Amino acid sequence: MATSRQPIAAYLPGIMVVIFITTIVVSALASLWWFAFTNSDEPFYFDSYLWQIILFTFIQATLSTIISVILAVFFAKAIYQNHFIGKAWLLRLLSLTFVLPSLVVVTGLIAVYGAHGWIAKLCLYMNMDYSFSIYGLNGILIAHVFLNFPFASKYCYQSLLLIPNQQRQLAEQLGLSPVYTFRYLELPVLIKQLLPLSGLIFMLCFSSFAIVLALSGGPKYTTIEVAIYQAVRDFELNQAVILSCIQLLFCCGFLLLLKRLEPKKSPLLINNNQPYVSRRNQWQNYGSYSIVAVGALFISLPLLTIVFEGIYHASYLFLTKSLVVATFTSIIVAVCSAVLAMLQAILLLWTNSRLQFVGKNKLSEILMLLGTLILAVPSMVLSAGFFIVFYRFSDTSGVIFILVVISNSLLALPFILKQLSVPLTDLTKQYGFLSQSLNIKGFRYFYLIEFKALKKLFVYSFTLACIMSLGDFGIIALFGGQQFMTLPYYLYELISHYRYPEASFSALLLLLISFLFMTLFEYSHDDRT
Amino acid sequence: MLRIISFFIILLLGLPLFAKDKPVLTVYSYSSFLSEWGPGNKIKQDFQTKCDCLVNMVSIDDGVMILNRLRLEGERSKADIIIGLDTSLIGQANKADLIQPHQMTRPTNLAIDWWDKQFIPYDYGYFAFIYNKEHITSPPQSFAELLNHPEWKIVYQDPRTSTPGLGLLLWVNNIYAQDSANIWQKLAKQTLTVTKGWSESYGLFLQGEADFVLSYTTSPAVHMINDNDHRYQAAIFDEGNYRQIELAAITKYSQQPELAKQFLAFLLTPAVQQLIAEKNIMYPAVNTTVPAAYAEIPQVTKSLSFNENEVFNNQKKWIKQWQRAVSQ
Repeated sequence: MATSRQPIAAYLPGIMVVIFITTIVVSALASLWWFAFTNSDEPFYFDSYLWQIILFTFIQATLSTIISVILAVFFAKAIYQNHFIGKAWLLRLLSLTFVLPSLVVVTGLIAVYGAHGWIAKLCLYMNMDYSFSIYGLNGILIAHVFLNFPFASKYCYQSLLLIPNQQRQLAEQLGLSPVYTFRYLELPVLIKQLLPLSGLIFMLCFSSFAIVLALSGGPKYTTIEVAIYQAVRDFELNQAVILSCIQLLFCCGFLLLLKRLEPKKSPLLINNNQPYVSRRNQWQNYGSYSIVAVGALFISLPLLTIVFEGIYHASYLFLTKSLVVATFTSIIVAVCSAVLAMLQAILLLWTNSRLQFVGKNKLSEILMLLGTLILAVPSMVLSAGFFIVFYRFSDTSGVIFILVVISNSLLALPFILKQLSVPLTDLTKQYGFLSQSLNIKGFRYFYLIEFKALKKLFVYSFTLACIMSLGDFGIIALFGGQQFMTLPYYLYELISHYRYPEASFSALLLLLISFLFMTLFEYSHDDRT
Repeated sequence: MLRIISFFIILLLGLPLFAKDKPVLTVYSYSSFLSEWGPGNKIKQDFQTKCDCLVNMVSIDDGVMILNRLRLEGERSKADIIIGLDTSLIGQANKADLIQPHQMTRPTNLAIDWWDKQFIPYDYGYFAFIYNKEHITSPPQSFAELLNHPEWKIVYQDPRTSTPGLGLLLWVNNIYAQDSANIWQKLAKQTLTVTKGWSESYGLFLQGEADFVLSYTTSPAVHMINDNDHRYQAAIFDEGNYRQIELAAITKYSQQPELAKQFLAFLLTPAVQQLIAEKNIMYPAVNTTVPAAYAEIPQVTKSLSFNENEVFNNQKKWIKQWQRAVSQ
């Protein structure tokens, strides 16, 4: 095809971003590696316990991913099919569990499922025996499903919205049963979108560790991330580097496996404004409403305990200067990180959709893999590497601010990429030739075609990046401290000083701000087109 | 909004530029020592009024990470003083060769029988299992008693990721030596869960999930001081409770050794020690007045400890033993 040749301008943005990301990650890893190599004489050891850890990490991550995704499909379908009061609220809630610090998640879950939790109290009231234990494998799975399933549901819901309403109408006119509609209309779309998302969830669960430790019931179930953390603490940096390579390998392997599973042919996805509600009988109605109810309870109960605790303890006395400063710092960090993450995502996807447009799928795959890979690098290793590169500036707050923003944006990037890559590629496939013939290029193309069509997704991705950066405090633990305090960091300090009422108030504040972000951006993009 | 952001950024960038002419003493300490409820800030202010210098407090996660940070920075480190290593870390610190002798004479009013050429002790405490006396009416007097009640649920911290967790590891090995694998297996049957850090496990305990949590004998004092809550108690064991001494030292590459020495001496003055007892909730290293709530805390009958070489030579072996025993 003569038209398929792309100008250099199409490749440059994505390549620039990839170079930026890999430079940061590779220089952090390489400097740690180099440091480990020159400063440590500890040999690498690989014992049976480590094997056990790797095996368990893999199994729990796989199980968590499969359960989260399957439940998400049912839940999203049920939300899609029904109109009910509070639907908009529920949809906003779905991205919140993702951002909470592990300490808050554990507290919330224990308050519901624990020995003195809500369910236990309800059972006691009804004279029933409550013998469920939230510790062990079931605790880990509940926590991981609680963290990932709501986000996956939101994602599924958005995917379902992408199926053109005309196709649904057609399916109904043809008299397809719900099973067949699901099989031929919805499943292809969901698979196309969910496989890459499964990769992300897998990586998150693979490297999760504070939650796993807290609910595992003991070291019988720990993750490889604990081994890495321990290696860094013991200053066995060789061990840390090799273990993180193992982790990287597993995650890459899983991602490649998912890539293999992806169907070659897939439907084009376009955003609808309204979900299509098909006619159903009474029983189907009851069924889908009860799925909505159970799912909503599962997500909202632990969050509600945080809200109740926060309100119960709330006092204006808690609004100290430190809390206000920490809150503002968090918000500013979040917005800056989100802007940077969006910028990187848009540039990367710009190149990616053009690569796909001309059929260079291998290159596009590599590009997307590099954008995602940061999730597989253990945060402890990344921060230590970051530290070796940048510690000379570590007492300059401005530099810390920039480092925190960059690392947050890198962590949010994979999620934005997953949200936007498929729809953007499809848009380019649809409007690529048309816009070439009309000579719509560059920023005008982005604004007229991509932004206008996927405004909602763009705004949602931005918000998601915001609240993800709000709750994260990985790198601050190494650099920040008193001179640069974010809300999650402050929350941990409150708890380590037995300031439980203030801590529950701060957790509520964190939740509220995330929710506000979600709501604010939803209203700010009122569709007038 | 833009104005607020730019104001913030200017503020952040501008902070380190103030007043460069005075000598600067850089102190690394752990975050809870320096937080607004810790003693760090007041110590900094008070020392600055005396020394005609500036104190730059840098907060780092915990004692282990302070040590690692020094190791990463090597001779380029800006730190003059480190506060927050404990007795179990001395072996590693000595091996890394990061500290210089402080050349101070042993104070006559020292409250503990511990003194060292390199490190000065600034406070100490004992590990203990904390319980709620409304739920546990006959508290255990020994490890054996604790392990003889299968219905008691215990939560503690992972020795691989947390300082108190490591403390329990040393404690058990100190009492049981060869038999500790056996004890770990027994303990595992009663273990509710093992958490990454202290905060998570103490939270589980306060939510009523566990009957006992590993913490310090002084922990109940905080509940008395903050909330006038007297329900929580520390179990004192007949075999003894393991002692943790927190240490401060002058780094090898310090540019301000004289000022640093002054600061260490200042740390041991009764006024500062009182502040530490009050805000770091540990026993002061020299004889001085302690908060009233301390009177309500039962005294440890026997103090246990290893010397630094015993810890240094065995720590990895003991962690592996613990891993094997509790993973079965």
